[in-house]
Amino acid sequence: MKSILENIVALRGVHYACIYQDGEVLISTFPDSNGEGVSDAAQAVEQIFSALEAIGQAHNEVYLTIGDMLLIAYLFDEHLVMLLTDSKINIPLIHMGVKSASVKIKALSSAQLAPSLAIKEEIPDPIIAPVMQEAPVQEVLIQPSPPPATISLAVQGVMDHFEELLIDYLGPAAVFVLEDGVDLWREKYIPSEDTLINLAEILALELNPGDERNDFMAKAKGYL
Amino acid sequence: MNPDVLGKITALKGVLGVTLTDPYGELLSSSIDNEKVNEFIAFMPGITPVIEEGLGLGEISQVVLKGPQVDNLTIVVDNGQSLGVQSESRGSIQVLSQQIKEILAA
Repeated sequence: MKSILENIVALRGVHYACIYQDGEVLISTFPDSNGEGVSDAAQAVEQIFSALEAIGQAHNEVYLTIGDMLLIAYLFDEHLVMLLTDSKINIPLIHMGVKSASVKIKALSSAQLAPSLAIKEEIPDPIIAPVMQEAPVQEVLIQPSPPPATISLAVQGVMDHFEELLIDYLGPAAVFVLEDGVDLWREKYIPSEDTLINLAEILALELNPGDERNDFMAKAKGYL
Repeated sequence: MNPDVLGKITALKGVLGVTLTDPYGELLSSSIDNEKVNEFIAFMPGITPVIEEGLGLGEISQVVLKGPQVDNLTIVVDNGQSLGVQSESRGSIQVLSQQIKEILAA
């Protein structure tokens, strides 16, 4: 989750970002000293979207001008992403970057983040220590999931070329699109030079149909 | 606010309607037919101070709202008055915002 937020903040012109859900800030890069204030602001932004929904308006993006800064908030199904940016920014680029990241945020926030935090807080340290001393380590540790298939340097090199190609179409948002695409590719295929064409096809789906996709595929095949 | 100002904003390319409300939410002028949208425009001066206090970065001068299959809504809050501008969704919010800003500053 933190890395997703860091990638958003890495977009040009973005200073701080936070994710707000169910009345609380899940994660934030805003200065710690302003934590409660950011939460209040996010809650107020959520009220704006709620008021719009109540009158049948489907607005889900808000841009608030504050001096030379812009407070941007995007509403997704379950969470709100709020950013503080320069006033002169590439809005489509920021929107694309946040939209892409929101897919991961949604998956993490609903399925993993909340339960894992709750469990972490409920386990008192003193109980863990005796168990670790008395029981064999392998009985206590949670079995890790099988390690993901390794990616060879050759495959990684081609993936780097794919990212460079995507940047031509999507700008910095290409980073998110590639990450999502690689995740999907690794779920469906064994990462290898033979299946890189499948990765290219997955990535092409994120581009505009027609010339853009065809152009990307032609260039991508040049690296296979 | 000068009626000429509202006329100039209404004449901007892509603008569909303009509403001006006083600090008590009363309509001073409106060419937006949707009563609920007008109510929302009147609601904004009440919510922006919460955001201003939370962030401590100064006053919010303008709010722009966008969404799928809805008209853009630009709201300028000044001294409790709220000026709402409904515009075509395909228009540039940055260009329109700048144009409104220039008209209000003139």
